[in-house]
Amino acid sequence: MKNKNLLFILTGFTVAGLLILLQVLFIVREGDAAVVTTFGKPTRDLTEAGPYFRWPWPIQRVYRFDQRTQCFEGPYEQILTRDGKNLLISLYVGWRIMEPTPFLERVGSMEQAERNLEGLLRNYTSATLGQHPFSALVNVHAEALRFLSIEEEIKQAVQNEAETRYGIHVEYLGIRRIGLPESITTRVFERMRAERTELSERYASEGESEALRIRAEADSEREQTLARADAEAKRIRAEGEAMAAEAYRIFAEDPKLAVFLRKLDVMQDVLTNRTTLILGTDSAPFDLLQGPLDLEP
Amino acid sequence: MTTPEQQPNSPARADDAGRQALADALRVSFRLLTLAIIILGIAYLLSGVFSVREHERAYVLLLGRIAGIADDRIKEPGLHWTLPKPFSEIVRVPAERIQNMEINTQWFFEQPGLPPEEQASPSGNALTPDRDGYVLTGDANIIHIRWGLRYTIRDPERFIFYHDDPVMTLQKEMDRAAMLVAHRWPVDRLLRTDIEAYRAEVDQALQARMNELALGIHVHRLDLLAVVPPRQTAYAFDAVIEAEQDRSRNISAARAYAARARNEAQGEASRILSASRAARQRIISEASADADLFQSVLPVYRDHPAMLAETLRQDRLRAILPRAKQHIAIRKRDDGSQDVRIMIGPSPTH
Repeated sequence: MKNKNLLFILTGFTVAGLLILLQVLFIVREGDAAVVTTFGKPTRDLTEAGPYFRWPWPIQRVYRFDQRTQCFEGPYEQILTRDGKNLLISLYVGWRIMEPTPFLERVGSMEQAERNLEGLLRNYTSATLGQHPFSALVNVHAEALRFLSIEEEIKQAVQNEAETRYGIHVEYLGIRRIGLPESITTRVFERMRAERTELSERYASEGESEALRIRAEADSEREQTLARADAEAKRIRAEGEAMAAEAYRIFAEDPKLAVFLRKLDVMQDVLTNRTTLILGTDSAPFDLLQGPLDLEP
Repeated sequence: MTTPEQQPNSPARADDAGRQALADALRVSFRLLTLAIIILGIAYLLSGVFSVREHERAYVLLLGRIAGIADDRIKEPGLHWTLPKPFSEIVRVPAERIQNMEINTQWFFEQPGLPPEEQASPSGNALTPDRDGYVLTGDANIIHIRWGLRYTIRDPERFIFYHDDPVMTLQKEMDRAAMLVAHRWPVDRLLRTDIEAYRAEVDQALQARMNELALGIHVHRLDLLAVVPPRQTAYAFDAVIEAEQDRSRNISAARAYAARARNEAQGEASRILSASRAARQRIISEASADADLFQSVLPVYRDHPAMLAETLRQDRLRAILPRAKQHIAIRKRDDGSQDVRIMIGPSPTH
């Protein structure tokens, strides 16, 4: 019986203790920050997670904030570059609550923080880009680009003001989109089409002239090859003729016989197949047709 | 005596019995309550058991703080126990799962539910800033790109407790990296010649920035799913491709012609050369044959010139005559008239 009472008493105390604890104990969760106010005046900044004590309401109140880095993107808005070009640009910023007390006093809520940041982004983006030409953002010559330094410049400016005024730390900042106003896109398309047409025509004429060049080169090469071969052939033939002339030297021994033999050859060469041969019967062997021959010596 | 004594006593006895019964009942209820408290207590303590699935990692927030030290902070898959609520909270992270993300912020607006061929007709001649996404190129052209990302959560603690929405940041970083690189590239390299190099450079820019921001995310793979010129200019881009193909077709036809011409010329040249070599040989052999003949007949000729000449002439005629189509022999008579004899067709014996 005593033991049982003890159990009940203990249970009672535990429950009562828990109820009281809930009034005076509060938890700051990992990733959160809190400010404790005493009669409305901020008295304690809590940026570490864990359990903390406080006086019960209405003496002390706890304001909790998400202390993780928030990613906020500003609106996609039109700005003017130094050379008077209209651009659409949007930036995003990663921010976190650095000091909860100034944040509570000067900002109060995450939504308000984003509204404030939006204002800062707008101011410093247009101020910074107003000092740079469009070609610092978009350029095939990488050395003329100032993209990263422009980002850094805006980040520094936003960070300084956010820290001193709102207790907000800017972790990162980036340009997310750069575009052109709607009416300008149609002009860009016109230019793009014109550039493409020019390119098409260039390719077409390049193809034709290159093909012509290759053909002409090939033709001239062929002529040269054939001319060389002809010259070589003449040389070879002349060589043969020179050697033949050497052989003919022997004809000098009896030129009459040489001429006669040559005549025989020529006659044989000239009278090829299917010629019509007209001979007088006074020439051999047709002299036989004329009657008896006088074979007497 | 006993009766009257008992009479006042009987309600008292009944009271005793009632008290007894009440005490019994109370005792039973006490016991039941004790049991209930103990069971509830055990159940309460058991409610602190939790399991971590195979693709997850978990953290226990004990009184708001991450429980455990060093590696013990991350709870691996399996069964775990912690003090139940309100003392602790379990935070789960799908750390081991590879996540896919498609990024269409640089793509033109597509009407939901319409097939691609109908999408292809441009709704208007312009791009609407809030609706159509695109990227400018270094030579101030406009292109549309679609990206695919595969990532895992590498540092769950940073992912969960340091950043509010790291995946959204990753998306914006992706847009930024793609734009940053495109802004210094000419459109032809981006669309045609160097797509993979562009992807690699964007990947590099993104990785560098991810390391800097430490979102707790690791990007495994960046895929360039599509890169196209605006629909409003697509036909002009196609025309360039066609012109380029025409060019290479023209050039390769010319090259083929050149190769053919070269081969033919070489063939012709070697034909000419071998013909001339043959001619040389023929001239030489004929000359030497002539010389031989001359030399062989010369002694006979010196002795009987007329006989040899006539014999040679007749031999030749014999060789020639059968080859002739027609032989016409004309005899001149003494009176001046002529006698013509025609032999048609060579005699078959010759």
